[in-house]
Amino acid sequence: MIAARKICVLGDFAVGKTSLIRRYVQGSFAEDYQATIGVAITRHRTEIATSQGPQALDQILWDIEGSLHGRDLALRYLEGAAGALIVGDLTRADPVAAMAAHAAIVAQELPGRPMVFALNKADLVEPAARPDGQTLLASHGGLLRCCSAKTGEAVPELFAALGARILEIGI
Amino acid sequence: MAEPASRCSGPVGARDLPAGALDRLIATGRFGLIQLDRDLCVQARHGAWLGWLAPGAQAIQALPMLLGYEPALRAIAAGQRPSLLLPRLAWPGGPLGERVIALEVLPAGDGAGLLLWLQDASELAALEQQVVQQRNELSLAEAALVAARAAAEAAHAAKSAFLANLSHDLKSPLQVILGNAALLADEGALAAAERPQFLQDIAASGQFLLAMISDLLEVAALESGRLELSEEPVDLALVLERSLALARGLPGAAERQLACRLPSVRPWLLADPIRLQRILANLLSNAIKFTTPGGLIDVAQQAEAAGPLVVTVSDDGCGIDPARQVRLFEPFQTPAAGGGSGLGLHAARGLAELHQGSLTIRSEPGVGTVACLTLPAERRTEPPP
Repeated sequence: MIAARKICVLGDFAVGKTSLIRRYVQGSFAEDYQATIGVAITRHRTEIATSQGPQALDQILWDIEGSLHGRDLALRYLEGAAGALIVGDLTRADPVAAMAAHAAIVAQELPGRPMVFALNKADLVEPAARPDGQTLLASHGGLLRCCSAKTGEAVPELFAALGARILEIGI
Repeated sequence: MAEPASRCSGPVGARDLPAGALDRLIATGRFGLIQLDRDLCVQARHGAWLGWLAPGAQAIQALPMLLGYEPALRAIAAGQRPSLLLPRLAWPGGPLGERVIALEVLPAGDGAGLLLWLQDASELAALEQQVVQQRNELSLAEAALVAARAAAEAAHAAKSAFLANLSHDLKSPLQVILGNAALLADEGALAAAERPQFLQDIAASGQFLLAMISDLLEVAALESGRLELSEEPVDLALVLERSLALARGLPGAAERQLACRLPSVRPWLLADPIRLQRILANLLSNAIKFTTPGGLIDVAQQAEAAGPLVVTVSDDGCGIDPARQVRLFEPFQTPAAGGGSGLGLHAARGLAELHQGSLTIRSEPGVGTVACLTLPAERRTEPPP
């Protein structure tokens, strides 16, 4: 039977969580912003390269409303997740600090669960202006990439890296 | 055929409903009820929009929103946890369609399993969506306003600093010119051997003033939109060679190695040769300024016979601090060392963009800097007959 894992996608509102999922699952992008209410669930079957070889995985992606940050409701939605993708917006002031707040909640509510960090909207920010996010990696490990839901840059890699980490540590 | 919902023990709140009320609730089409046995398999489902859910199916597989909640579900079934409420769930592309549901998981009672009480919350969610959307958009607009105000204040501060420095930058070379001229006019003031150096200093100060005033005029023309290119077929290699020859006359150039690599086939392009030379002069002048004596400055043109025309000016100088790189092309950004008007790169990028091209800079402190001028392939042309 194909393994299925719940993966939460977290971040402040309008950082592009829904767009990243749409890019990953459907390969498309829409310019207009539609706030997510509660949670939108997407099932995506993919093959993940692990150290044991390729492995099929059903990723159940939980796109969690950004405005719920830190509230009890958001914590309830996190329950049972195998890992989290934390999304930040490169065009905002100090996106790494915003991501760190989400990462701290995940670390507390889901100890031992892997995280990867997506600095989205890389298409709008010159490489020299992008933060390196080393503080996040130092605190939580994982992987951090600048990415773009608009161009697709680094999007599959982030989801694949999270999937591989989940499978390799056997969550 | 499943039993009527009212034969189930029903959700906690519904147990006290009058007989048949639960069925009538479900018949409204806004509610659904799923009964799970102790093994979390679907026993029965009630509700018009749950027909796709096969009795006997494993709930965790059929309803992906339950994945990860197995311990919670078993705890509820065993009476160790009262319930679980997930108030807004959407499964776009799934069998619930675009519906947003509220899902409550409750014990069926007597360890018999679980009840999943589903309510169609689409209408309420749509209203919430409007409110949240407006609130978020307002927050984004407010943040953009704050950032724009900060940027405007920073630009104003940079402009003020620039104007404050301008008088000093203009005065210093003028003082050299006037002072040296006075000394040269006084026949007894200088030994004959000293006079060439004083003349050279006058020339260097004049060049500095000329460059600064040219930058100012260029930026003023660019920003007012008055600058128009005077285009003609141009031998790009010739422009590079001329720029390099002029750069060799700049102060400090003699102590640096200036190399030039050109392709064997010289491309021609439609461009404004004077403006093109100004871009390259600016890049070369910067490379000389920020390279220590003995350093290497390399001008290269990519050899591709088709596609965009790319010229790079590389140096092995001190490089640029990452914090400064972000604002490199903004006007009035005077470098920490090396001097200059703080307008040169701003003007150079503007001129590159007037040619529908681009100017980018990659730099690593302590390693060096590469400036890359790219002009579109459409500008390639044949040499004049």
